Amino acid sequence: MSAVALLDPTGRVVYEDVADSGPSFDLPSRYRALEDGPALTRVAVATGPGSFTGLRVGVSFALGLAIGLRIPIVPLPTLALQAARSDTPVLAMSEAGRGRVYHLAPGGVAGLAEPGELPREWRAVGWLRASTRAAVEGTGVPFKPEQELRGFGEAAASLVESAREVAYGSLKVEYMQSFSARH
Amino acid sequence: MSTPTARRCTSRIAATTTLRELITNSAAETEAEGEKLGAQLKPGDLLLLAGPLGAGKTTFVRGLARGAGSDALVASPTFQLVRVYPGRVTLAHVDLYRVKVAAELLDLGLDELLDEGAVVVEWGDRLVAKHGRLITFEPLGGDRRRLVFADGS
Repeated sequence: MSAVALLDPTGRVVYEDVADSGPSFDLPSRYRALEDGPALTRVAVATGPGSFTGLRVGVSFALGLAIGLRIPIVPLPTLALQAARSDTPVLAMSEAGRGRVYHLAPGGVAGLAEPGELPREWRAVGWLRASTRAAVEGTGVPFKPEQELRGFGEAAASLVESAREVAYGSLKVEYMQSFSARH
Repeated sequence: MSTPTARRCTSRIAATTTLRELITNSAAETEAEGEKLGAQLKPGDLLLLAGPLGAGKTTFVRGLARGAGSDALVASPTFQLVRVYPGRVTLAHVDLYRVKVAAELLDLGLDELLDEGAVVVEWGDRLVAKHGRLITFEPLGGDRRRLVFADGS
């Protein structure tokens, strides 16, 4: 899933573009849409947890904008961003690959789980592959319907206010790392 | 890496898993063994290859890729670190020879490669992996090689 939004200084969403698939998301044309709009003053980008390639594409695009325009970059944790789409407590999720999900319960810390290990107290919000989503629903965790959720831009606006900018070189992305080097 | 290291690795696995070993007498035989295994590969499979330079690891991968249904040109990804061969099963060919720092390992995105297909790792004994099958290559002089398959999980 890919999303780009443009917020005005009051946090109002002036442009939003969400696509279900990553690889076909045409970033150069999105860039031209941003370029034709008002001058950018800050770039916020989702930093995971999520897919290795997806995060790298998103962060590269955001860093390119920020460094090129010499404006600050602000990291937004993906699961907090998903949770901010709902005005009621939800279980935020993102795809971890191989049938697993990253998840964040209200007031909890982010974790990685098989669908069967998820808490069932909350409805879920987040983008998963169709097969992973079906597995999660199959364990008795329903998804909050899309029409009851805020848009991404609005959710990002609620986080950006309190988010801190970081140096270009110290932006960190979070993705699955089950391997380490032997010493 | 020197041969003694590869031997030490073999004995470490021997303590916990069953071993199958075979001798190949030529590069063609090594490649044929790779092709046999390649034909059985499934997405999510992880093969770790260990053994000194010139022990036949890349030759084995050439067979592996053909068995996995790829006609791509196989070469050791010493500098690219990862090459991906599309086929019946996508095979990612990883080489850790130049990977010295843990951070570089994280930059390979191994989990995502395993999510998309099978993965074979040269110098794979440098990796700590819960799942994965270790294959050790031992030169026996000339073109003879001993291949030791750790048939564990």
